[in-house]
Amino acid sequence: MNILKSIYKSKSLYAMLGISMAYFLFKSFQYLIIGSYVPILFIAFMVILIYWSFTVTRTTHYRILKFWAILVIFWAIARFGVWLMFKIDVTLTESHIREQFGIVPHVVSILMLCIGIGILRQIKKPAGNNV
Amino acid sequence: MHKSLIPILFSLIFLNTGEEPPLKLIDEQKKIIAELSGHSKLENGKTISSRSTKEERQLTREYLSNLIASTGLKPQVQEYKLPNVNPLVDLLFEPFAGANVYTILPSTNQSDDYIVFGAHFDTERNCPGAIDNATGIAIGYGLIEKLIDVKERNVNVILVFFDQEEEDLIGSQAFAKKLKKEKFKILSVHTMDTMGWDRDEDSAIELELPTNYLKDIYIKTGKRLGIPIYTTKVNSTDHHSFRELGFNATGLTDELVNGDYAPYKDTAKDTYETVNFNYVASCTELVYEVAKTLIEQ
Repeated sequence: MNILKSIYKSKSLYAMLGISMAYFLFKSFQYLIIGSYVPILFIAFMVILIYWSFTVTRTTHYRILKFWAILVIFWAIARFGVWLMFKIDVTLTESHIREQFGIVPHVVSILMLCIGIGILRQIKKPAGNNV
Repeated sequence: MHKSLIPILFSLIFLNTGEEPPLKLIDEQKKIIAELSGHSKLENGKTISSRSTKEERQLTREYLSNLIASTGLKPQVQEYKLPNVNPLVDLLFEPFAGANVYTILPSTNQSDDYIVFGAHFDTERNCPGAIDNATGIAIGYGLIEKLIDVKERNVNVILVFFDQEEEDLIGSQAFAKKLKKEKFKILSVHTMDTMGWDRDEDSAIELELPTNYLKDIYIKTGKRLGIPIYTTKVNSTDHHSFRELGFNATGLTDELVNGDYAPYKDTAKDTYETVNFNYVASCTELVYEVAKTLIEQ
């Protein structure tokens, strides 16, 4: 597959992919500065995997994009799940996590959830519409 | 006529100066604990009801900075960001963010050596934290007030108030890392936590994981002051962060292992009324005498 041609043919799909990956790249650099390597290793692995998938068949490429979309959806659901847990169990003491459930973090979670669902929907469209 | 004028003259001299008489140290410590635990309002009219949320901790930091400045020393703030304890949580949430407040009391004789005394200022959610750990702050304050008056100080003293002890000792970890990174020559680290409960009135304290050197100094000083010192292996508070990085550190607390410990710790009942101020005073005296021994060596 030609990468640029693929992206050009399915702008919305790759825009969503780009936004979600950029967000996690930004987060992982933030963590790298303070000495945590797990996020950067994870995102580097995903970037390499997605880049490699452009060089193989469209089916494999879409499977990997689907995998990414599912991860992003799980990420958003996990955040909502933790928020709900803190709402139900008021005795939980992790103030540092509790404080991260303001408006902006919720907007980010909703955005990521929409992006994950959006990527899945784009992938399910007939092949001719995407690539 | 003469006799009736004497009280009037006295009142003119002592009352009309506009200055309040200086508080005794224990009264100052009572005031600190009252203000930190929401028992009394701050001078700006605000109340610190708990020291857990971002806003509450910021208000407490401002209070502590003013407290340090009131001694004539320069308050400093160490802001930090640290990863979550579990790296997988890093993928989901933001890192820890907070700030420690500290000051340095310089030696009177040239020295590159430092002794650190610290106490955490945060609390669990919705807890006034009078004993845990406004008492530690008050003892730290009392210590520095008394050390300022020591004429011969052969080492520098750092007094630090840690943020986020209740959340995996994050503040002390950040401070220990700073000392290590900036290559401070640290002789010893002493952290004070939950020192306001003494039901049996024996003034005893527990010394957590001291080296033999520190243990000897505390026991000798304790004997002199009539304060029993028990050593334990409790490792769950700020001194752990320093030991992890190779510092000579110990923790001071009430009789946690012996069973005479603050029963309302980490609850809404940890209030000003439950603090044993005689115990706060005896702990201050002990820590001061130990510090004096260390800085005069």
